[in-house]
Amino acid sequence: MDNMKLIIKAQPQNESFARSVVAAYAARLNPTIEEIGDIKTAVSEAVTNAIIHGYGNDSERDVSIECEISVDTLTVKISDEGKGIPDVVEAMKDFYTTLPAEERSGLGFTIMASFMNGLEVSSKVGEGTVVTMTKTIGKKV
Amino acid sequence: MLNYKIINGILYIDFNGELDHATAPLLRAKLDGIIAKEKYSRIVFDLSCLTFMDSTGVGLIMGRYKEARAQNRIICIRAPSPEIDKVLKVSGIYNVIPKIV
Repeated sequence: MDNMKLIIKAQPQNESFARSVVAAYAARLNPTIEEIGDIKTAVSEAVTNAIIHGYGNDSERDVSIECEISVDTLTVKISDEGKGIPDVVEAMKDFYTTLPAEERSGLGFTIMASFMNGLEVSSKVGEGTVVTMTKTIGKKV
Repeated sequence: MLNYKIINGILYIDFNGELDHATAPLLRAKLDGIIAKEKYSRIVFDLSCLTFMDSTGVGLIMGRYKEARAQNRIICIRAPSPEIDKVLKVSGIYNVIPKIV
């Protein structure tokens, strides 16, 4: 079993750190520059969602990032114990955002779905959200 | 973070580094200061030195677009990296903001 777990505080400066860690972990799969860019962007979207929407920018809360590699596939699971999403289907629609005044584009899930091979979101109001993404190296999205 | 110059009435904004949720607030404040202060007919966002951008950057660019449109000004995007170009394409932003060479 090849896996790792990273727990970061929900602070914006940790988004770049999280991207770099997952990219470094995925490097053993010998991804292309484009594939690494896809992974970093998708991770950035999920971690940002956890910080902004899950925790309302409460910088003392924890965001968990778990990664696993199986053959040629990277699985990334990003979890928070924040407020949860009442309607996941609605939240995953293009341009849906609960924060339009803050210039949030509402494209986080769209980008995750477009850049990764697989995306699953499970959430419970009051308990948190788990975003699980997969990227198979060498396979087009 | 960003530099700017005005040539022939065109405001060129050169972004550098990363544009994400962490860096956007300061970038937005600097950008709005420049846009409010200078005189120009068109804005070009040069992204050639931007090493990373996620959908936070799309929100920031769209916010500036809406303000520019309200003042009948044009915004263009120039030279995004292939990774950032992919984010911009998925967002559909090129339907309203042209990419120039």
